[in-house]
Amino acid sequence: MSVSPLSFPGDADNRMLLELPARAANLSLARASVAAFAAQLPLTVEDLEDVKVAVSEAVSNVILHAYPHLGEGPVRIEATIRAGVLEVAISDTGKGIADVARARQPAFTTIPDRMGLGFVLMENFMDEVLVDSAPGRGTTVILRKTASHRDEQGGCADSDGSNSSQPPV
Amino acid sequence: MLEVNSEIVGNTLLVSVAGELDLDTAPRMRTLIDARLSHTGARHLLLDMSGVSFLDSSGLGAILGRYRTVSASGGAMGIAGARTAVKRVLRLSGVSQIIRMYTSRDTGLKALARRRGRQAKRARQDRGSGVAGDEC
Repeated sequence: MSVSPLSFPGDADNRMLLELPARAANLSLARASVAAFAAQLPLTVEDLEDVKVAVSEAVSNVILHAYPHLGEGPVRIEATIRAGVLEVAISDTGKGIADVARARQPAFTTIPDRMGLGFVLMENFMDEVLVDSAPGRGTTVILRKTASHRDEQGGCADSDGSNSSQPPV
Repeated sequence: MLEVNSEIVGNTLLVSVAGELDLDTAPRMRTLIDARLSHTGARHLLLDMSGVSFLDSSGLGAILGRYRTVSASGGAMGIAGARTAVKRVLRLSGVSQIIRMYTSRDTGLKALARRRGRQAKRARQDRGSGVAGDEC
């Protein structure tokens, strides 16, 4: 995938392209960059936290799974804002996923001691999660979040408040 | 970036964590807590997360792993002071139903100091029925 000058930013209102070695030390940079980009939309602080977690999970998956033999390969993060929608595409050129539906199941993991929660968190914190993958062809995860619909729900922040903590027993 | 500090309060290892907990930093927290647990012989573990600004599934895994370690030797574990964003991840993952959450480190320390034999009994029951968080 290469970007020509004419297609940048293309039909999007804004676009960011970031390519990094898929290593754990780059996780913080990746999610902070996307959050800073997403902050141009009228998203709540909570929305931006959600985006950070989802990006962290998707990039962690690349680090953990994509390049088992190379040790390290590239992860490409393309974020766009189009008509009030944030879209983050996280791609690798790694080994791909044989059974995407199975990989997205809660608690499914190929690594002992891991929780298999990556996709659960992505799906809960974003409006839409798409996965395009095939063995040997790499994986692209697309995360979408729409601005300001959260405001109508209200109550979201309240339900995270003090009543959440269980009383000491 | 992650900062981990620990001290012993009575029977409890109090660990204060500050920064971001992810795939990069969680292994360091795990190593430090495990080393302190075995050096000090502390029975209970209280994780003060008031300084944690970010948590994802890698951090959750490290937290749940410490819960299993502490429970296996009959101790109890609590989490104190988690911020809203961190609390949401703990709640969504179900971890807040397995590990007790306290609003402050003081309430957590007091509560853990009161849990002794009872916790050991509960940990045995949890192991027996396979409830010790395996479903997460």
